[in-house]
Amino acid sequence: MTADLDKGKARRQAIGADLVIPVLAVAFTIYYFSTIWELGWEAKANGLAIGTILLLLVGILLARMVLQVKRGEATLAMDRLLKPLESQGRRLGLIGAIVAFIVVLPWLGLTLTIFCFMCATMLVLGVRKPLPLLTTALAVAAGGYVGFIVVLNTRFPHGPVENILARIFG
Amino acid sequence: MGWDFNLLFDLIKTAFGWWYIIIPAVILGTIVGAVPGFNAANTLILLLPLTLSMKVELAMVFMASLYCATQLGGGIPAILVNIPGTGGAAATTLDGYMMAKNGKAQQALVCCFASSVFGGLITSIAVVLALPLLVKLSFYIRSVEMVVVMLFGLTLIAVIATEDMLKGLIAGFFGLLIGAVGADQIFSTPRATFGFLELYEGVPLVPALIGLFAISEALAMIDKPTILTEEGKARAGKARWADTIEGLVISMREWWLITWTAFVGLIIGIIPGAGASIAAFVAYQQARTFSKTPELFGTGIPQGVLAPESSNNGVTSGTLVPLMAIGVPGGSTAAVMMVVLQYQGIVLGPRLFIQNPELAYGVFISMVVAYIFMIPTILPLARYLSKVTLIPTQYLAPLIIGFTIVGSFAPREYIFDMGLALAFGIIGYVARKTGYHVTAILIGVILGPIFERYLMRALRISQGDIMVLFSSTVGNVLWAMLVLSLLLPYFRQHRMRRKRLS
Repeated sequence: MTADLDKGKARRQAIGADLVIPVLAVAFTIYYFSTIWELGWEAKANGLAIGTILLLLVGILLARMVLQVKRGEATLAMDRLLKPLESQGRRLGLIGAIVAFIVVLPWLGLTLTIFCFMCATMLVLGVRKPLPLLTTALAVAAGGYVGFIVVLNTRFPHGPVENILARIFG
Repeated sequence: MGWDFNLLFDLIKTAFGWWYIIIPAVILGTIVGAVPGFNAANTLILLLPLTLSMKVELAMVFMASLYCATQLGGGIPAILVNIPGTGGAAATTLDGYMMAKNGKAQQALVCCFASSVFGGLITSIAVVLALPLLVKLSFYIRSVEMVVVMLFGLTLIAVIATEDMLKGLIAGFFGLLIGAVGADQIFSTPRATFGFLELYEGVPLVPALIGLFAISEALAMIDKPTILTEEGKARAGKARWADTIEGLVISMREWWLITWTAFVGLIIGIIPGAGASIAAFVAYQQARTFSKTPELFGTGIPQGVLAPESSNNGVTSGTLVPLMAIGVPGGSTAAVMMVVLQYQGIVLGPRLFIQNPELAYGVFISMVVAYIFMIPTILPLARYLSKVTLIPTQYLAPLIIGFTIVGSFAPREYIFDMGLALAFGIIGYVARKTGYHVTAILIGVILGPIFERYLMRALRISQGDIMVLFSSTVGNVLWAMLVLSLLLPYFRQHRMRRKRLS
């Protein structure tokens, strides 16, 4: 009996994660409507039409999901987004590294930030051998410096590495 | 205009003699096109000090060759790592990346190169032969007709969402609403900008593209040691020259598809303001509609690479038509070229073809020659480029994020855009994992603002009368074609079902 129940549970689709995008879409639509409500028709016609259709589509999806859960064909578990669990830590580590990249870029400058970012993300993803780790990070940082600072002369923030290299090469 | 074959022959001979300009431009263009965040327009702006100091003919040859190559380069990362280098290559990811995952990266790259070269080549020749006629075409297509052209692109949302139409439509309309962020077309009042000045001009395309494709892909790929399937791993490990030849044979067999999708690109390219991304989406959608096996699109078939790549290269020739013939740049790259031409005192317009035919036709001839030079320069690289798919994801994911997050800064030079790319990356990751197509979101983000612009322009002219959309002959023909292309798959399905039953 318990085995049958488990089997049934396993057969049921976990559709809870399917709600994330619709929830985001609805929240954004409501916010969008709040910003256009008092504008002229030309400014709000397009957004109003798109937003209304979007709300309608989300409504249909919700109805479909409710029916699926009611019929016992699905559960509201978030498996699709959360499994495999062992990757979640690494994924959060990657997102954290990107946030850190954006935050420290104005202080460390492009080259050093890329180098630190590459080392950190490769470590998070399980690269443990120092030689490939350092050579890859160094090559990408050097490529970034040559490409974006020297050749293309973009306005990336300069840090200690760029300042030292500018002094050396004039 | 009568044809002066001596002039034509001289122009071809001269263009081949400029190989030392064309080949570096082709290589640089391919690299620039492959790096998300960079495109022909911003590279040419950076290189203005160089092009302004060159002889005008040489500068135009350099810029035209670079422009052609960027469209080709955009397809490389789209196929190898699911990251379109330019907006025009976004549709290429749909089948190109699936081919790469199945260990057919080399064939996909060759299809991309061959269709880009062939598509660009025939449209450049067509422009040289039929320039006056093509100029007239741009007068017939106005905002009313463009609304319908946009709808052709938008119907792709429904086409790629065949697995779960409802989710696909939600993704598409979510994208359209994101595309409607920013100052409106008429009064310039900000809409849904969250108080960020950086969003007043709308959601920038490059961070959206990088987030939805590159960052979300990098976040998703770390579940597996490589991006390849088991079968694909075995096949990719044994990449041979025979695979390059196979790609060429496939492309040659599909010459008709390449030809007509290139002309779709050419026509869309002629219309000022339209661009490669619209052309590629429209071509993909149309190729699927008229395919005998539409259900295979999206599973990794060469036709899904050939159509958008041929079309986005057709755009390159088309964009220069209004520039040279009437002095109206068809896109941002053409606008940079106009700056160079005006700096050199060249007066654009019909007189240019009488007073300076060497320059007017020379640009298009040099495009033809650039495409010819691309064959030996780029084609052999497919075998080696395909090895990228073998790189373990623990190296590939950081490399992708590192390069692309930097690329998201490049076009506008705002650190804000990097944060925006991350936000889109997280949305894209959730969308991928839960079956909402990221391409559908991107189509909305790209086409949404352009659609609104043309719609508002049309409604403004008619003082709010919606019937203006059915007021022109060309527009009505396009409407009929749109309805036909939407109904055709259903009729075909119905016929096949009846055949099966009988």
